[in-house]
Amino acid sequence: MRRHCLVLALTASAGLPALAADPREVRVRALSAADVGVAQGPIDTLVQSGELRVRMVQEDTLLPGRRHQRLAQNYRGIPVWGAELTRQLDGQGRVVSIFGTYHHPDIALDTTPTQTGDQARAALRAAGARPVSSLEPSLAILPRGGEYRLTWTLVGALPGDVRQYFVDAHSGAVLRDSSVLHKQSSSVGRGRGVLNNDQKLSVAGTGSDFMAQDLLRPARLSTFDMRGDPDRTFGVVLGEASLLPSDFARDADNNWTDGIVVDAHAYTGITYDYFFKRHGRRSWNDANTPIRALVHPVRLEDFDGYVASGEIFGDLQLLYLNAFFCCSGSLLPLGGFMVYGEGIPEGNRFGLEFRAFAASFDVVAHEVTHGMTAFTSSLTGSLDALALNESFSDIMAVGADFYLRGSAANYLIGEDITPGGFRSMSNPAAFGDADNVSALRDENFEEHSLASLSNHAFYLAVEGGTNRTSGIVVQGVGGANRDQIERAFYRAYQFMLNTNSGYCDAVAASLLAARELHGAGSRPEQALSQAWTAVGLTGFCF
Amino acid sequence: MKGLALGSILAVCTWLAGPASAQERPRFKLLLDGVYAFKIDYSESRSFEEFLESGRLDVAYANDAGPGFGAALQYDLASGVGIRAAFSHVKRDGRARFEGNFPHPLYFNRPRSVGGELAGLSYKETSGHLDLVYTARAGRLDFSLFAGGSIIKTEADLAGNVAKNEVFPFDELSVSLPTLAVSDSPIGWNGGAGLDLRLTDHVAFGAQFFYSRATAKLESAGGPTIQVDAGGPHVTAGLRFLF
Repeated sequence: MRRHCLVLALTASAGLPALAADPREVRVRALSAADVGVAQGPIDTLVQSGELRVRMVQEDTLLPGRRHQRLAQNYRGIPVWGAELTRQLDGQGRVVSIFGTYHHPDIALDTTPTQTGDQARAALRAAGARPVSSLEPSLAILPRGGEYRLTWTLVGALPGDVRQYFVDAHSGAVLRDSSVLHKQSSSVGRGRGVLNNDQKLSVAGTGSDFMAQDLLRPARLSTFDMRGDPDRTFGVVLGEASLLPSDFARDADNNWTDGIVVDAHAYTGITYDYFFKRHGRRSWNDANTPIRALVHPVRLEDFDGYVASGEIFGDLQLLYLNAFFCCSGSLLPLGGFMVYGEGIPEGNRFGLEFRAFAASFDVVAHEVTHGMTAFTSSLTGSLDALALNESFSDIMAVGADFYLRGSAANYLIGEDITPGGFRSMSNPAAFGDADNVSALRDENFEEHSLASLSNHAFYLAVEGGTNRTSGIVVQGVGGANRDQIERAFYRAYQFMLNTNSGYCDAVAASLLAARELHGAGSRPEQALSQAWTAVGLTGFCF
Repeated sequence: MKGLALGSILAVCTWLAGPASAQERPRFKLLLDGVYAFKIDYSESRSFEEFLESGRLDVAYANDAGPGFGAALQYDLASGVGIRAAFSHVKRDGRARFEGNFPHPLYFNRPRSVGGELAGLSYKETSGHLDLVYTARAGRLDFSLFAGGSIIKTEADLAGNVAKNEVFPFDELSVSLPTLAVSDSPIGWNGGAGLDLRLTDHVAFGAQFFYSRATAKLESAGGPTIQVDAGGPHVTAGLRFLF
C-alpha cells in the first residue's frame, strides 16, 4: 500500500493524470528538479523490492557523464508488457529526468499458466502463423483495458510479415499481435536514361506516386524538376525562392521515363557511392548533407524563341549549354545545388550537338565534386585555385567513371553530351589546352583550360607515357592502381589546399599526400613526381 | 576340438528346428522394437523478385540416421496369415546448408552472394501402419512378410523467412534464417520382412527390415512447399510376446 501511494504521488508530481481507459496505468514525465526529487526515492524503493529491475544502462554518448537507466516492471518475476521507466542520471548519480509507464503494483493475478507453451504455439498455428522455433514462448503480463492477463508471448511468421503474439495462458486465445518487421519506406524504381541505359533509382514512395528522393543512401539525394522555369531556377540557387515538395521530380508508377531525371538522380547516387567507398567521404560536408540536383531549368522547345529574342546569349545559355554547382562562398549556407543544362535541339541553327548535360556521368560526377570542394578547400581565390578546382572535379569524375564502367571508361570529359567531349586528360592539346607550362597561351588562362596541367599530370601518373611538349617519359602506376593516384589527389586537394592555393601548392601537397599514403619513394610518389615534372611544373615551382 | 564345435552347431540346429511346444499356437503377438531409421535429405529452391531483379535461395537439408522405437500388435487369422497394427517413432538430427544470390538495391547485375548453415534442426516421424502379415514357421524360427498402408506424421524444422542484415553501401549482405516447425501427415505404404526366434512358448526375439514411403508436403513460411519422401528404410529389433 505504501508503494501504491508513492506511485500516486509520483503521478501527481508529474502533473499527468492516469489514463482514463486504464486507471491503474501511470505515465510519468518528470523533468523538473521538483518532480524528479519526488520520484527518486519511490523508484529506488521499487528497484530494491524487485518490482522494477534495471534492464539496461547506457552511457550518454552525446553528453559526457550522463547515464540512462531502463527500469522494467515485473510482477512476481514476470515482465509487465510495455511497463518501463527511463531514468537519466548525472555524473553524481542524481536523477535528472524520468519518462515512462508504470502499473500499480496491485495487479493481483494468478501467475500459474494452465496452458502450456506448446499449446500457445498451437494457437498460433490456428491463427495462420508459424511459430518461430528459435524462440521459446515466454510469460508476460499484458495490460488490457484496465485488466491484466497472463499470456504466452511468442513470434510467428506469415508470408511477408513477422508478428509478435500474446496468447492467453489460460484460455489459449490470441489477445494481441503486432508486426515486428521494420520495413524500408524507400522504394527502388527503374528508369531509362537519355542514352537508353537502364538505371536503378532509389526513390521515395508517397502512396500516390514516387518522388526522386533517395532514402537508401545515408544522405538525402534529391532531384527537382524546375519545369522549364529559368527565373525560378536561378531564384532557388540564389536563395531567393524555396523548393517545395511539389518540385520533386515524380513518376506515377516508378517506371521512370524522363531520361534527364533518371540520369541526374542515378548518377548523383553513384557518385555518392564512389566518394564513400573510395575516399570515405559522406556527402559534401562529410556529414551527409543533402545533395540536390535541379533539372529542366529551361524547355528545349523554348530554345528557338530565346535565340530569336537574343536572350540565349545571356544567363539562359548557362541553362542550355552547361552544368554547374552553385554556390561556393557566401551562398554555401544555402546548401548548394547542381543545375544541369537542357542541351539544345537537334538541327539548331548553330549546327551544334549537345544533349542534356545530366546524360553524362562524368559531368554529373564533376558537379558533385564541386560541392565537395566548396565545403572544404574552396579553391576559389585565384585563377590558379579555380583551375585546380576544375581539375579536381575532372579527376574525380574520371575516377568515378572507371569505378562505374571499368575498362569502358576513358579520360574524356563530356563525350556523352557532345561528340568527342569537352576536354581530354590524356591529350589536352586536342581541345586547345596546354599539356605543359611552356605551352600555355593566352587563351589557356581560363579555369577549365588551365585545369589541363593538373589533369594531364593525373593521367600521366596513372597511365604513364610521354609528355608531347617536354618529351619526358613518365612511368605510371598503371590503370589497376589508379586509385592510388586518385587518393593522393583527393587527400591533397580536399585536406591540404585552401581558397588561394596555386599550382605550386598543388604539386607540393599532392607529393606529400602520395608519400604519406604510399611511402617515401613509393611508386605512386615517383609517378606523380615524374608527371609534375613532365608538365613543367616541378621546374616552374621549385 | 573340431568335434566339439561341430557338436555345438548340430545342437543349435536341432534346437532351432525342434518344436517349441506341442501347445496350440498363440494368435496374438506383441512386438516391442528399437528402430533405426536411415538418413533423409531434401532441398528447396526459392526464387524471388527483389529490387527489380531475380534472386534465389537454395536450402539443402540433411537429416542423419536416427534411433526410435516402435510397437505392434499382430493377430493371426489363419494359416499363417494375420493382420498387424504398428506404431513407430523416430527422430533424426538435421542441419541445412543454404546459399543464394540477392539483388543489389542500387545497381543492376551486382548480385550479393550469401551462404551459411543451420544447425540443430529436428526431423521426426511418427508412423502408424496397418499390415497384412504372412508368417511361415520353421522350428523355433518364424519368417514373416508384411505390407500395408501407412500414415506418417512428419515434423521438420525448415528455414523460414529470410531476415536480411544490410547497410549502405549494400555490397555485402548477411542473412539469417529463423527455423519454423512444420508438419504433415501423409498416407503411404510400407512393406518388409522379419525373422523371429522363439525363446520360449511366449517370448521371442526378432528383427525386421521394412521400407515405408509417403510424400509429405511441408509448407515453409518463407519458401515453396517442400515434398519430402518420408519414411525410407528402417531396421528394427526387439522382443515379441505371444499370447
